[in-house]
Amino acid sequence: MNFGYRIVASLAAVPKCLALRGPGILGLAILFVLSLNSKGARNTVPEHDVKAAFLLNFARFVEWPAEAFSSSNAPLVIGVMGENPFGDALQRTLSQQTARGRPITLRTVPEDEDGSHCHLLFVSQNLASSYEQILNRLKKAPVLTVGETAPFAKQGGIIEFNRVNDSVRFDINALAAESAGLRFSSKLLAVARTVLRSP
Amino acid sequence: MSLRWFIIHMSIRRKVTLLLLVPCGVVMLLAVTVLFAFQIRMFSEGHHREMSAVADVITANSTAAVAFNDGASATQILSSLHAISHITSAAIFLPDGTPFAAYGQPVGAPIIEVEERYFRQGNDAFMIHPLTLEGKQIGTLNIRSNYQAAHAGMLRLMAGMLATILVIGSVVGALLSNWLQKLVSKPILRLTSTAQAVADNNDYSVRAKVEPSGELGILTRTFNQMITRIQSQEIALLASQGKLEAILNSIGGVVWEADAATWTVNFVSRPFESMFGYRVDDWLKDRDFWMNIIFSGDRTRVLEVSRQAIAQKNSFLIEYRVRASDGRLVWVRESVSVEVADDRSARLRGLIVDVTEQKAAAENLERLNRRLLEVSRLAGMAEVATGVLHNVGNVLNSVSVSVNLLGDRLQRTRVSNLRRATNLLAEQNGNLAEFLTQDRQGKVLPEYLIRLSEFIETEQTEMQSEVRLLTQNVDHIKEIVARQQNYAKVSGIFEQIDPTELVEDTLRINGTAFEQHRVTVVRDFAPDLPRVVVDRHKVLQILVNLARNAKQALDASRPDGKILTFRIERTDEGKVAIRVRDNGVGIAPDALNRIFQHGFTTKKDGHGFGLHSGANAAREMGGCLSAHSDGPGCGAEFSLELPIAPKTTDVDGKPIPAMPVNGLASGGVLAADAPQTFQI
Repeated sequence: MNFGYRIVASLAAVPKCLALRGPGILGLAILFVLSLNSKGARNTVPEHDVKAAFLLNFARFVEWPAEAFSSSNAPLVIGVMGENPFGDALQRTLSQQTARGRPITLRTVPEDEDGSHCHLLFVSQNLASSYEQILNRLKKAPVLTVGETAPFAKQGGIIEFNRVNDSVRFDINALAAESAGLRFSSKLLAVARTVLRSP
Repeated sequence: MSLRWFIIHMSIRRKVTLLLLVPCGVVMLLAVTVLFAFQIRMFSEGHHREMSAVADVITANSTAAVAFNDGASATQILSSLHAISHITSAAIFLPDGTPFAAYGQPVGAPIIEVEERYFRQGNDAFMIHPLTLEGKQIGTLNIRSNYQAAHAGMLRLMAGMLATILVIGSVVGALLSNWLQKLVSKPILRLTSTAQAVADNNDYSVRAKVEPSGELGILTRTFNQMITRIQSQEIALLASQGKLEAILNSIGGVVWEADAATWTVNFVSRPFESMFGYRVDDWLKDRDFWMNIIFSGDRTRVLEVSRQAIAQKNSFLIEYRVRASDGRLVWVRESVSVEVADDRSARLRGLIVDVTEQKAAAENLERLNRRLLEVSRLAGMAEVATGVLHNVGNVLNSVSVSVNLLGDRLQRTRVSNLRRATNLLAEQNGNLAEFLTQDRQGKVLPEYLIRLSEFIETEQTEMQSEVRLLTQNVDHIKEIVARQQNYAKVSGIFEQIDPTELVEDTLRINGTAFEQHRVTVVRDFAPDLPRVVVDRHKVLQILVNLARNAKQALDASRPDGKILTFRIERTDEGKVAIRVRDNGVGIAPDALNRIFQHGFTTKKDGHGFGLHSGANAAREMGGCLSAHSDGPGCGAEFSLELPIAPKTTDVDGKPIPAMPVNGLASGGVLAADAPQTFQI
């Protein structure tokens, strides 16, 4: 079928570029039919090592508004609020890494701060009771908030980790991300377990 | 039986169809072949590009899945490859070689590459593409495609499509060319069938349908013009042919035409049938027919004459006899003209005329001629006799004058005186001495004897000369007689003679007569006269006759003052004229008209022959005799013109042939320019 299309296109002396559009269109189609289901993967590494890698990848697949950075090469700041569950895994994961060409800085954010100076704020599990309060403080601020337990996303958090068949997955609150001025790569959306569109 | 021969012998419809189809087919085939080759080449490039594009899409879409360790998503993404039939399997391997996600059959051993790589192995093609995130390779995509199957499929598809194009193209081409060829071939075929109809039926009233425009329009129009012209020419030709045949058939003779080499006859006119009772076809079908009906006694001669004339390319006229169908012999006169082409006798055209009646008439005429000839001969003999008598008579005049003179002399001779003297001497009887010395008579006798002998001597001389003249005249008579004996041999001996000599001879013959009749003879001879070529005796006869006539004319006119002038001069026509002029009685104009006619004379004792035979003789010698007179009492002049001896001729000289004259025919009088001058 594909060849047939190309042959006809060639016979009609259509430029080559047009002929090559086929696979492109096909590729897009492939994305749309992607299923969110995922089978269990072998996961021998500790959970928070995975989550640390996920945090780095979130930074890579999300686009912040330009005004979120002081300059074009200003570092991307990742903050951890509350009890640090990663140990030194996060430090290790982030060291020497870049996201969208920017160096990454890790900070610890005290609970009484709003964390708006961070670009990505990880809210630890021990702060589950004050999720709403923390998130309200950051409303509209271009900060990608990541929580570990429900109902973080429901209360206005943007990404919420969860576990499916012993593997780490996550939900995305697209509405919250939108109000925060963040743009998610469709690829990230494709691998999220659930994408919340309304509160 | 080459292709060229085959094409040349095709109908124009086929040719035009071929003309349209062959280039079309060849171009199509060429295009399809090029396309085919191009497609085969493009396929391999296209396959590479397609695999590369697919790999790009898959890696782009599966980066997040790998990054977030989402094998299910990755597998989902890979499974979308089932849309591409020739991709049999695909897998994403992590950097350590562990498989992360897979699609289809096992892809084989993991291939880890930093750069995209495309290669073919056996029937399969492999695309190896790295997955990178933030410059770090997080996995490698391996895609395996059944290249051979795709290639074969492509070839099949291509071949099918090209075959379809060829078939459709051929069908469309055939339909189009069939339609188009009619535009070209139909008018030509129509024209061809018209031309065929014209050729088959010789029907020039047929016309081709005129095409509206273009070369075919011109062709059909000019064809029709040509036919029209041929038609009118044919009508004219038939008319003129009919006319010609009518003319040929109206000729009282047979016209025929034949080939000079084979003698095959291709035309014989209609009168052949009425003239000989055979059919025209008899001769047209059998070339020897004519020779066979020629009278056997004439056949060889006709054949010989014909062959010789054809060989020499000369036209000829021949008379011979032909056996008609009813057995009678027909005398024919045939005139044959030989047409020469390429310096060779090519065609014979003859006219055969029935001359049987003419032949009979001619035979009659010949018989009459023979009788006439006999009668003429008899009449001629009478004329000869008259001529002889006349000429001899003329000379006899002189002879009789001479004889009379001699008689006179002899009568008056002094011989009797001598007798008397001798008697006187005899009477003396021995006293001769005394007689001679004493006697009166005796003393004068010797003196007398001397005077007597002198006288006798003179007399003898005179008589001797007279006798010589007499002898001459007798010789002349003998000559005339001898000549008349051989009268049949018209021309005598021609010699070159000084004209003055002829005149002097004439005067000598007539000399005594002129003296007796006291005629003064005047000689008026031009200087440096050329010699003439004549028969001396004929000229003398003419001149003697003229002189005698003149003397008689003078006698009849006056007692004295008679002048006869002999003038010799050259004429403007290159002849010598001897003119005999007298101042005698002259000639009346009506007499002058008839003066040379046989039997005409004004003299009581004349024969009417002298001038007539003189004129004839002058003509025989190549000269002429003419007469001139201003009327009665005015004298007359007769001129005898004689031919001059050619200077180049040697003295012995070949005889100049006399003008051919029928010696037996009566002399005619020819009118000359001068009113009263008549020439013979």
